[in-house]
Amino acid sequence: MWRYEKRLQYPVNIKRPDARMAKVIISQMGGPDGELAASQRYLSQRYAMPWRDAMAVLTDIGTEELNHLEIISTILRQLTRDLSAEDIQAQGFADYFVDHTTGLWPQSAGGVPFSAMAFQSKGDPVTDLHEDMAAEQKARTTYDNLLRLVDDPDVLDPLRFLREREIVHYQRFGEALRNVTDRLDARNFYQCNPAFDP
Amino acid sequence: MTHEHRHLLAKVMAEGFALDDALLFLDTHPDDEAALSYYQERQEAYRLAMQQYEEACAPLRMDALPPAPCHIWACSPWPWETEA
Repeated sequence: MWRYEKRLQYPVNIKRPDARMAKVIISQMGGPDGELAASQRYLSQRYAMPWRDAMAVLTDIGTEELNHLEIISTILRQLTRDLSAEDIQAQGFADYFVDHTTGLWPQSAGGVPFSAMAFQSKGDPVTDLHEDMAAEQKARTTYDNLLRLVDDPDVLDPLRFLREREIVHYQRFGEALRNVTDRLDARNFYQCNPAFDP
Repeated sequence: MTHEHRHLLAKVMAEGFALDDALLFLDTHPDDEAALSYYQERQEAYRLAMQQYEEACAPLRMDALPPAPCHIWACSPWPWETEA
């Protein structure tokens, strides 16, 4: 179960609101490779894992992704505070504002609503861990792109932290995959699905 | 939040993060003795940082709220708030 600690995993203190940055950073909230997608992917996959070390990796990284979702949401909230109607128009935020004001709603920067279509939980440990390694690289590339678009050091700092964590998660999933394949028949990993076949 | 409180919160975040990261490493390296003892050290440091912050400022956890004139869990600042 989850309990809540009333703090962020990493500090966010943005002095200057700017909805232009929020428009693109929202992809790491509700986009296909964002933190919400990551958390739901891993937390869904953990139930079918046949081994406890894999259950632990998925639970613990999934939990950290919820923490990251909170950091992204905080960045978005701080970037969209104290805006006038003129600011909203000038910063290109009107399309989102019409439907959500400055509330947070999970969508991509392109306006695509968050969906489970962004991830898979395939019920096969080899498949799922490959999905997870790909997910971390997609997230890392998304952060790379954001770092090109953002110039405020208050925003760059937490984004760099989050990008670094994607790389570490990729490493952990790679190790988890190796631990899984070590338990399989070395002559043929695909002989059976250890999550399903007796 | 005063400078001192900000500093205490930063310590909680840093120590908490060290634990988070050590935990992930242990999940894929369960027998690594250096990692196991690192985790134990950081756990104590985290516990201490948490205690110092909660005593000076406000509780971060809901399961041990101190007696207070208001429902401090709701009334103390939330993590996404900025100081206006």
